[in-house]
Amino acid sequence: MNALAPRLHQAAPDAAPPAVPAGISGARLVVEALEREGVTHIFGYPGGAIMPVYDALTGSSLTHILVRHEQAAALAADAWGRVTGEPGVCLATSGPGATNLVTGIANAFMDSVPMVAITGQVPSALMGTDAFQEVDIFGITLPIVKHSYVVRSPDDIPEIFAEAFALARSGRPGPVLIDLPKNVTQGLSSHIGNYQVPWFDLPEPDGRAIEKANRLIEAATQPLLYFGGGIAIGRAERALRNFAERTGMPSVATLKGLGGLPTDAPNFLGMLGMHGTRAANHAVDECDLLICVGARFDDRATGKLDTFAPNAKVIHIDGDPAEIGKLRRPEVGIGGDLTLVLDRLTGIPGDISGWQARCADNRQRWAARYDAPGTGIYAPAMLKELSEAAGDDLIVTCDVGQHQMWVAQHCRFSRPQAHLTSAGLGTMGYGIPAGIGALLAEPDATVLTVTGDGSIMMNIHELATLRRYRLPLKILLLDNSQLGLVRQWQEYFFDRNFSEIDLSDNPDFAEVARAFGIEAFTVDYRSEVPAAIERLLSTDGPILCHARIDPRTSVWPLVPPNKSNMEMMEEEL
Amino acid sequence: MNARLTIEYYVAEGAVIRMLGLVERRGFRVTRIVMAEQPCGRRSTLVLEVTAGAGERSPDILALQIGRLHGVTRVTHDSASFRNKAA
Repeated sequence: MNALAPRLHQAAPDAAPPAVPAGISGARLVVEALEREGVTHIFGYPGGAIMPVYDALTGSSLTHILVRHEQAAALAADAWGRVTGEPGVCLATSGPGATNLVTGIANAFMDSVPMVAITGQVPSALMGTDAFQEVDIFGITLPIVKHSYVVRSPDDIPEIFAEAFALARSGRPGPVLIDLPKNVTQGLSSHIGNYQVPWFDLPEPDGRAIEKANRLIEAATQPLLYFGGGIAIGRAERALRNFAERTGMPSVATLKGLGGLPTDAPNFLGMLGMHGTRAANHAVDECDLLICVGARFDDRATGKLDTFAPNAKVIHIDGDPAEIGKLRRPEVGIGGDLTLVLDRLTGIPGDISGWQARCADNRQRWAARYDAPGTGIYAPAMLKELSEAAGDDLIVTCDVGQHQMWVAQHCRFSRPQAHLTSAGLGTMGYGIPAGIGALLAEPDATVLTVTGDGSIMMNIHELATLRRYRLPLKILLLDNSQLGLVRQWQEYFFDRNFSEIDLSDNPDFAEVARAFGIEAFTVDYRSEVPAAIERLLSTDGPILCHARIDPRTSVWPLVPPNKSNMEMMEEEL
Repeated sequence: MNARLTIEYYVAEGAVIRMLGLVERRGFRVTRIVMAEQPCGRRSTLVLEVTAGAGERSPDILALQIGRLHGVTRVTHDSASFRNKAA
């Protein structure tokens, strides 16, 4: 029954249990376990219950990044995990330190990001007594972790950490929580038994299903490739690009899938769904075969589910077999490593030149326009120019709101790791901490955070972290003095009853940034954009560009909630 | 849709509540639980009878979702015979 689930092997190939002598403190064992896993950076914030671990950190090989709020530690660790593919590590104390991690852990869970979150806990004898800074973080996080542990003895630390890292990075990655009571980190090991480092792998793809999929591909006349975040998670972009090239089939991406194929790849139609391109949504509506790779028929992508790809047979390929058939029953479901599956899909469709031409025409006909009237800054145009100027080593980290959708629609991405966005949870405040994590993970990249005036305030204190570590993050703040996406929904779906969206009393963001020691400047007119882009990209240190934009600008197209993707609303010109 | 799930798992801290929480969060209501007390680290079996809440939720998918929990070694479900028995 469970043959499709990731398989646990008792030991990784060539893995030998580490020799750990007795009489070592739990905190030291924690640090050694992290070093053994190849961890180089930890994002965290100290406090009472985790102090033994902080004591052991000094003199270790680990670099600790001191953030100013634990949520930022988790979000930075999330970005580290996305960029490197290895678990990002965050560290916090018990009680509020632990609960402040929760949003970041949920963010990683929703987007399947490898992470190990370590929390201090009150001593075991006090657990359950409502002690100072005691909270049941194990219970609180049960629904948003891949797995979790309360460590009960120093002797268990090496094995639990090895298992936690294996779990976080294997199969469908995700966050793993390790809760460390203070007596465990202060205590000494007595007898660390032999253990074997676990190793998990994905199921071998079903050969018969692959054969059936190949037959469907060969018979299709209007096939469409629909790919998502699984490409980045599985590091499957090479296989995806080869598959797209050899079949020539048109393709669409989810928000998390962007970068799987380069934005300017032949036959790529852009993002589908609520704020997707008209060409992408039309292709989904018309296709006769939909090959879904590493995506999960998310409601933002499908719109009203029973109207999605109404004429298509479906091949669903996913690393997590539990996603197959969850929302749309496919004709063929294939669980397994995406690269392996894509490389074995050797079927080639017949003559699809007419279909390709129609999709290409639609892409051309409904291409985004950048000739908005007026002299004010038009955010989509600025983002397009900025991403093109930045080149292929650009990583964009987004906050959440209108600017997030504009980034998805108008920026150019050359690889999956170039676009870090809080897709599943939609966490305002993700952008700057994610920029910190991305810069540390890939110091040679040009890292740009695109944020809004609502989102930046959720973690604006992390400007202090940028300053402390001299991280050359480039921040573009698109300020419309309101919660723009909420305003847009209130305008179109709540009878223009504008409720609690006004942020016109925002501080002077450039002054705020300068107060943190960050170079900053403000622009208001599109004539200033070329110089602003030049300054952003040429400045060596952290810099913030505060761009004031028209508060009436909306994100288009827009599929109203619970409507078919064919019912896209467009801007009335 | 009613179903009976038989879950084999390693007993560990939080294992049962993790499974029960997942079942409810995925849109099913637990109507009966049968389990035997086992010491930590031993393999045990949990039998759940569940009924789907609003919407069309598949016990097949639920079984896969439970099966991917760490520590769960096997999940079987028997919706057809359980339906017959319930009828």
